[in-house]
Amino acid sequence: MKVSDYLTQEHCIMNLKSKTKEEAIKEIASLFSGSAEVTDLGGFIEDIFERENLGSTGIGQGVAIPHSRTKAVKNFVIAFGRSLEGIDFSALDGEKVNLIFLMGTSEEDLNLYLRLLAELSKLLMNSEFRKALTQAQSAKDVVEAIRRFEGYNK
Amino acid sequence: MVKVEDIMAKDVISVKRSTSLKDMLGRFKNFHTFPVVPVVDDADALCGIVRLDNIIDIFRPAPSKILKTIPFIDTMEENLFDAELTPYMGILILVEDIMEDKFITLPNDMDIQKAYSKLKRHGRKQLPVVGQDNKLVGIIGTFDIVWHIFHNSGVV
Repeated sequence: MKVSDYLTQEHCIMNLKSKTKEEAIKEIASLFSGSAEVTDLGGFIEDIFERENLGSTGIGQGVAIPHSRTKAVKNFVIAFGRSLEGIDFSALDGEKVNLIFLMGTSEEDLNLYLRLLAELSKLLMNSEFRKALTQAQSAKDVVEAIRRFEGYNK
Repeated sequence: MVKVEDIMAKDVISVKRSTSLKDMLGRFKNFHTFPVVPVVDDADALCGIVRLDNIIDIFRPAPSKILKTIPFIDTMEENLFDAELTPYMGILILVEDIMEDKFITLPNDMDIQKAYSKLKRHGRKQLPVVGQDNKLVGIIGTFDIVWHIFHNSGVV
């Protein structure tokens, strides 16, 4: 169970236009427009907002993982967005967020969600991995960095 | 007739949907075991429960795509000692993620004999007690009933 099994280059935005948390979530989630895995994009975005209302997923060190277990998603989806300026995500450490991983899982897939959350958060705890994402020139670099660091962590 | 509300514990630790796993576990650090934890909304109405089984579920591996197609394999064995866990998970996993939203309750005015039967029938040692408008008013367990009977007989 690896993040690289699910994150593709088409689902990476290297330079988010959004200035706010809500805009950023919409901009990244829009990558799934027309996707067979996301059956209701509007519902998916609403459910992510609802989850954010319960508590920010800005976990500090410039990272946020907005997500939802929702009827609007089949199986599991993940996308990445990077903001060069940083976005106020009401993060735990009060710092702006630059690296955003947006995830969606079907309602019944608690364990898939938890295991991928574990994998992703393990990667993100590594400062070298965060640096690689910050310095990535392209979506290809992002996907390659994930593969590389998943290998390191084995 | 002795009612559930006469002998139930009224001082109950409850959580919200938005309580993080870390916060919830912290509240029960000094307990002998993890109790049935009621989840309440802003109006104190019961909307879920968290049991130790729900916590154990966190340790279950995700079924592979192939296994998911086999109908009789619906849960996988938990893996307490090798499960991948990170500090971020304490913050990102919320009560909402692991709570049961279909659960059994006891009404506050139920006779304790009936309450005991219901606990037994459902194989539970504790159940939340609700009053009007599904408001959480307490928790009662088999031991509360046993203690009451002993107490009534002068044993304790």
